[in-house]
Amino acid sequence: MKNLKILLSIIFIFSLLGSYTYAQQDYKIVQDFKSKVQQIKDGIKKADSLAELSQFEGEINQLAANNASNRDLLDKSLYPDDFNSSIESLRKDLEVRKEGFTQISVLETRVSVLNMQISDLNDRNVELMAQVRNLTEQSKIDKNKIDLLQRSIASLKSSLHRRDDLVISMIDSLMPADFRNGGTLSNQEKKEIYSKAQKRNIVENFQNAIDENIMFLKVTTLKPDDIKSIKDKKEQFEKTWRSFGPKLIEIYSERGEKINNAKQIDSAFEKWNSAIDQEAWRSISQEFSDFDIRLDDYSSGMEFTQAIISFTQDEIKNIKTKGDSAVKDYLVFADSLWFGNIKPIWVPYLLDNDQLTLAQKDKIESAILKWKNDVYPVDYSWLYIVGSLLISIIIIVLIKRNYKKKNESLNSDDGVKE
Amino acid sequence: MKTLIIAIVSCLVFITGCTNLVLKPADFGWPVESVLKVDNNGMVMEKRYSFSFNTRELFLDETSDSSGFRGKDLRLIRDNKGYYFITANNFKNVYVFYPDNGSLVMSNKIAITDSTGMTNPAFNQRPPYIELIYNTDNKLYLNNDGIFEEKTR
Repeated sequence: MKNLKILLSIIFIFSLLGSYTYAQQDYKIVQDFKSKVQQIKDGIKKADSLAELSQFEGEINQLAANNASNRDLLDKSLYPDDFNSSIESLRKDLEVRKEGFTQISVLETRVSVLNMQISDLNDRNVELMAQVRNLTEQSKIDKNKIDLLQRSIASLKSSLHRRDDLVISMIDSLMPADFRNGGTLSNQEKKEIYSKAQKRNIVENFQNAIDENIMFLKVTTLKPDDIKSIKDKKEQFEKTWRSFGPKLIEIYSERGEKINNAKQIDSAFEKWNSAIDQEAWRSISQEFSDFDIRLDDYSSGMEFTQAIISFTQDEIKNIKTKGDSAVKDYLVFADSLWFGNIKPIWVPYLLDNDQLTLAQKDKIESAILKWKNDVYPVDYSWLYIVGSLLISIIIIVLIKRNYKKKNESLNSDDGVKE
Repeated sequence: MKTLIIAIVSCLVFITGCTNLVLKPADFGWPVESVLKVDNNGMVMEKRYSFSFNTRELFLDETSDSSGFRGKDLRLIRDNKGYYFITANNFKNVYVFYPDNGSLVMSNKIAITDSTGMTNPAFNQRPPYIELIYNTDNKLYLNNDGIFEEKTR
């Protein structure tokens, strides 16, 4: 028993001597480990390239190897983590970041292809826009050019559509998935977005797309369905800009660059909106012009209503002067234009988009009805005939009744005498 | 005689009823010391083990200065038995406390240096002892009774 005690004492003294050779503060070991873990974490987060990331793989292995002898201490001290979970967490961060860089590299390739396609389509759109403008002028003189014009407009529309989709895709591909799901951007991500936005002329391409859509509205006359699809496109652009624009403006502002360019897009949307509204009135005006009807200028429901009322009033005044052509003019306006075209095609669009009210539509139709009544005055002669007939029938009935009464009284007098 | 037997049995029953329930073994040792900043009121807060205490009296005892706690870091560790070992930079002593009824009661005051205080003291958990390192190369093994062994590198 005594020997055992001596042996235990020797073992304890040797263990103390063993620890004595590397006497150091456990607290410092733990703090150094924690600080190194944090340093690697930050490094991984801030890394700019895959090459830079690869150095951290070595650092993590080194950290694990250097602290393997302190594993027990660290397991107990890193609560709620432990040695393994700290090292694993670093390795996981590294993998996630590596994956991000691989995805970015794929996206970069995709975006650079998109960029080239956008550039080609931009050039093509400029050519088509000029072609449409020329053909519009020529078709006024040469009706054979109308088909060519329609084909050019269709090409331009499809080309614009493809380019717009590409611009939206490019912007979408710039945004980190986390941010799209409501996350925030780190400084590193902001830096990357700024750099890519600059390289790919994101703001310029976005603004160019809006400007060309506005230009397209100006050089073409469209039907409600076309305008609706442009309106949908505008809403898609606006939605994209609302989710991305403020962040981009903030990123640009932080660097004091190109802020004006980014801000101009907000006002470009107002112009686009107004161009869409005006396009409806311009296309309606073209419909009237096609029938050689000249109305006063209008750019709102109230002005449109007033223009038609004024026109119908003038026509009513001129009925006598115009003679037979007054009826023809009425028929062209009412049957061919209003009831045949504007009312079924344009009025529902105007009502849906709050560009015309029901009351204004009713006012227009009352004016047209009044015009009709003046062109076709109501003939009341049938009323006189019916009235005369009724009076004649009443007179005949009364005469017959009096005659009958007289005969009856005569017959009764004869009976008394007898 | 009968009365004596009744008295003895009663005492035995009473003593048995008063015996405290003891759970053992229990290990209160912290794996690593905590370094705690003393706030303006003299309080320190240990977040991991969720406890706090006032250090004014400790600093008064060590430095004879009632405001001696200001801006100081306290080093604290608990050994397996549950005693708290407390010291700080420039302290000449290590204070040993045990918890009692909402307070820390001093169990021992271990004198480490005579004239000048310790520089950079630190505790390590070395069961069944607490290792104290100070003045860069001095090392002591402590328990609640005092110094167990002293080594100089």
